[in-house]
Amino acid sequence: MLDQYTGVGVFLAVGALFVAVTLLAGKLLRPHNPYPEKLATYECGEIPVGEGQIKFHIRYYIFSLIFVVFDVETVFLYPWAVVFEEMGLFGFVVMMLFIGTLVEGLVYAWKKGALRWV
Amino acid sequence: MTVTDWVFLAIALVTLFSAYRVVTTHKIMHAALWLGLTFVGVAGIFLLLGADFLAAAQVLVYVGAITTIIIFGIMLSSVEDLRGESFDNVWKRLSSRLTSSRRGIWPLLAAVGLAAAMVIVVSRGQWPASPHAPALDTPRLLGEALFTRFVIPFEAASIVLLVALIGAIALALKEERTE
Repeated sequence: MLDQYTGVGVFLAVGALFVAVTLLAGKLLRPHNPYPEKLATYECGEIPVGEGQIKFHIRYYIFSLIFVVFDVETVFLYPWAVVFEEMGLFGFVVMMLFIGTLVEGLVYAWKKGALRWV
Repeated sequence: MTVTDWVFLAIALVTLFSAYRVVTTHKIMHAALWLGLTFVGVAGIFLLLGADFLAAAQVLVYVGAITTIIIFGIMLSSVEDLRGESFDNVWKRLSSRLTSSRRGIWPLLAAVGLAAAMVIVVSRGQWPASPHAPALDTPRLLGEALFTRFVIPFEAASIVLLVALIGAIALALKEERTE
């Protein structure tokens, strides 16, 4: 069973190795000479002011939540597509009801102006 | 040990280590990223058990979406809430936490309760002696089950998702108005 995932394993190993080797090579090759001005956060040449971490606008959350909902929908679409031929009209109607319910949420978001970027 | 055992051991170690880092790392953003790695490890375990579709769904939904939601949750929090007090002495922090109810006793009770529930579920469950060795056509099996036996729960899932979506929009718009 594992044989079919050998490629995935090799890919993971090479990917991890690539990052490790690149970072290690950079660490060995580069000069190491830090001083406070160099370590300061770069802000277009100005002296940085305030916190680097800010509180983001709540509006971003709606977009990420809509993404999650339709991501879950995508997961359900895949087994549906596989059995689409056997299920015929019934499967189609069931899936359209499912998607329709979610689209209702999208229409709600749209109508409420949650999708408008300000 | 067979190759599968070694692979399981490696994946389990990565999963456990990243789960450990989630609760011990000092920066909450790092905790979220470690949580993402934990989810990847769980997907690997699903794959070892022959549940290939579940593994793909795990990566798509948990690594892709749930981690994103958590990171957004961190980004939406105010910086003072995220920083908390400084992390000088682990034992001093532990003792101060255990004496407070909101940050010590209640979370501890919830965690112990959850752990107990998990242990009960695991000990009660009927586990097959070995996972299904032949790779089954899991998406087809799932599709057939979804559109015959579980068609009502499937439609109910869409209602749950709709409730979550509308609830989040209502809350976010309310928050925006008060700002």
